Amino acid sequence: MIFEAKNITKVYQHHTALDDVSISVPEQKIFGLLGPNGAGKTSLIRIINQITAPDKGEIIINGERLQPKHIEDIGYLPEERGLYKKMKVGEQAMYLAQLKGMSKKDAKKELKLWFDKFEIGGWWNKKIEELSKGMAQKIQFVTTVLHKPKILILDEPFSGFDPINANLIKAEILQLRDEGSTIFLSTHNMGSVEEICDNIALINKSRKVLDGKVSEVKKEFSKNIYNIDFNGNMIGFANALWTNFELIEKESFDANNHRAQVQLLNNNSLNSLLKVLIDNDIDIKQVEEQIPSMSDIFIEVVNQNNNLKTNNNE
Amino acid sequence: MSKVGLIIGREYLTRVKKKSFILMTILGPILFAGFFIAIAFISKPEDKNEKVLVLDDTYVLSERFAINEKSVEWTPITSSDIQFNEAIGKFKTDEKYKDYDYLLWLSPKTIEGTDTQSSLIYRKTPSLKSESKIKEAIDKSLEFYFLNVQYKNDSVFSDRLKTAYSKIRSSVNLVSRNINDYDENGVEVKENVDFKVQVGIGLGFSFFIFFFIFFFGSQVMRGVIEEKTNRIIEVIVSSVKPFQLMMGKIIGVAFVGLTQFIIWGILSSILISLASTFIPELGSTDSIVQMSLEQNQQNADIIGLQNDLLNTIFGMPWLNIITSFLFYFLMGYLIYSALFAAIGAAVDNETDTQQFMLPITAPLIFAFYVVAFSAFDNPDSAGMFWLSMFPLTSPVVMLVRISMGSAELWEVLLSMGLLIVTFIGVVWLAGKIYRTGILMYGKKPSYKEIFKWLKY
Repeated sequence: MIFEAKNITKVYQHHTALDDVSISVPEQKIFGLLGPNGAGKTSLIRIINQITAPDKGEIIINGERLQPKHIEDIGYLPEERGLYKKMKVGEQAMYLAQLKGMSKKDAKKELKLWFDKFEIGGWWNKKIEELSKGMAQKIQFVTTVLHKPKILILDEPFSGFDPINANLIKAEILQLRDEGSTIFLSTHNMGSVEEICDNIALINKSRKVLDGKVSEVKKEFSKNIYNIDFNGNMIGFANALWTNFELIEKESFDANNHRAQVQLLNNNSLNSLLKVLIDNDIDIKQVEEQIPSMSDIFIEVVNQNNNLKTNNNE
Repeated sequence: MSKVGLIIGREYLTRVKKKSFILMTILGPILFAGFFIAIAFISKPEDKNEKVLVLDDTYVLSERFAINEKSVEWTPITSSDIQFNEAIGKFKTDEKYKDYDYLLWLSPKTIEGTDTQSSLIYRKTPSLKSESKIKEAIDKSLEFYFLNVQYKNDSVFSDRLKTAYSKIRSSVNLVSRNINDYDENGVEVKENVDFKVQVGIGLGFSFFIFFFIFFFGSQVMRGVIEEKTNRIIEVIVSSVKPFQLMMGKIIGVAFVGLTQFIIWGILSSILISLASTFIPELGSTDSIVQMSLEQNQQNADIIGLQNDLLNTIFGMPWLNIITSFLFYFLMGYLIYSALFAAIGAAVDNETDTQQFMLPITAPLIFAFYVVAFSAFDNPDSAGMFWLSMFPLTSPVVMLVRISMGSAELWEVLLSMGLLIVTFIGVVWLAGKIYRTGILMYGKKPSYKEIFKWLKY
């Protein structure tokens, strides 16, 4: 594990931002840090960046306790981000790179590579205020990753980008991972979590409520529901099912074409469902497992968690 | 390079590269020099005879010897055998002397060739030109007296020509004073005649410090607010400690101020020295013709040095004043800009700063008003003393006392010590407010909340 947070607790004057949160992140993975607004993600990110210190618990990076020298190993793209508007792009990027401990020479060399890659070399002497928001975001991204940090923390990295540039950034993030970076991705865009995250942790109301590999989380939340498309009539289909299979939803495309959502109960397998349907002469066209989306899981877990808390409070 | 160094560098470079900085740096000395030249123009002499009442036991300026070519009228004061003090009293009060502009006392030792001060008392500050005219008339008369009286029958005159000539050419040592500095009995009213000039200069420095603490302090504050509103702050504090960022900004802006002062100092002195070579000509055009070429340089020196305003100015302890100006400016700036930085961190925009600015700047404004209104009348009051000790007011008050020469060394050292201690304390407190404030957005915090931040 390149990164471990152990029992982190952070209490502010009026509320607890993090309550005994532990997460561990394997090297060279993209780690989705998820949670509703105000759950405590930013507090955790600020602790990792040593902007604030936890009240309890510790952060371990590569076996070492978090300390000032790790600043150079971390790249941080905050959600609320910006640059000096009146400063020239080149000067500004050089400045930020040097603050992260890069030498002037290295910073210049790396910046040139990135500017060529993004084809933005001509912006070097422009002021930030002359650029569009998307252009400024690109610069911001470059300055975040320039010093090749081992750990990269990206808070809503795709906001402000059009789909083309968002894909460009997505590709860069994947490449950074392949080149050795470990990436924290904090986002509300569940689509991108499914696309690029290897692991996730879900924080709700200052507590970690779920974590694990994306594939395993999905399996865990799968409800054994299958979409079955068939020809024939819906009444016949419904009559064929018995107590171990529950018809959850039905949809008719026309008089002859239908889709049914069937949940398998009592550990019945898909095969036994198919056998029943075939025995009843249902003309099956297509069968597909319904895999829960991260968005569904997010909503389900958070709602469940909130209800639980409300009930406990009562 | 250390990170604070990088921050200082950025704060410094982005500011000195601004057009407004360059403009102000160039315009400042021009305005300053223009001010000086304007003074010279204002003191432009009228074309009239200088009427000088003379108390002269040497008779050098009596009708027999006096040279009156430079439109200077010498009139001996009627009763001889009077003391200089009495003469001053008469000059001040006696109706029959009210038409005279000057009272001149020529020291008897002048004709012995020893270096003795003679005095010129004036009713109205004489222009450089008038004063040099009088001085030149005295010198001419002295020359005439030496050649025609003292050495007239000297048999070895030729042998002693060299020494005598140097004596002849030596000019009178004349000190000018205002008649208002004496009472009816000719007794000096004030110990220090140049007092007003000194207080004035001290006040000037006070104003400078007052103005620049606000000017540069609010630059620091705006810088903090800028970083907060354009949201770069979170990126920066993930690389450096907030305290480093705050100090880097404060120090960077301090260097901007010092750069400006140094350039102003250099440009002003160049401009003033350029202008001062033209000051004699500023008086009247025929003065060039009147001055023989060889006398030109000498006259320029006389004009430069004998005018009492300039005389006082040149006679002030400039090294002390400049050193303490830099010290009090820097410390005052450091303390106030740290407070301004804390204010900037606590709010989201400049309009919200008012509420917090007021209590912090109140001591400074109060001190400035006290100085401006009481420095001339009551410079040594207990109030001035305490204000020159209290660290939030001493930067503005102490300079006046120093340039007046009324501050004892221990007082200055104590006030400096208090400033340094206060600086450390204020920076520590401001750092705590700053650290919490920069990451807080939304509602303007109350004093109570800010007080809580100190405990985080």
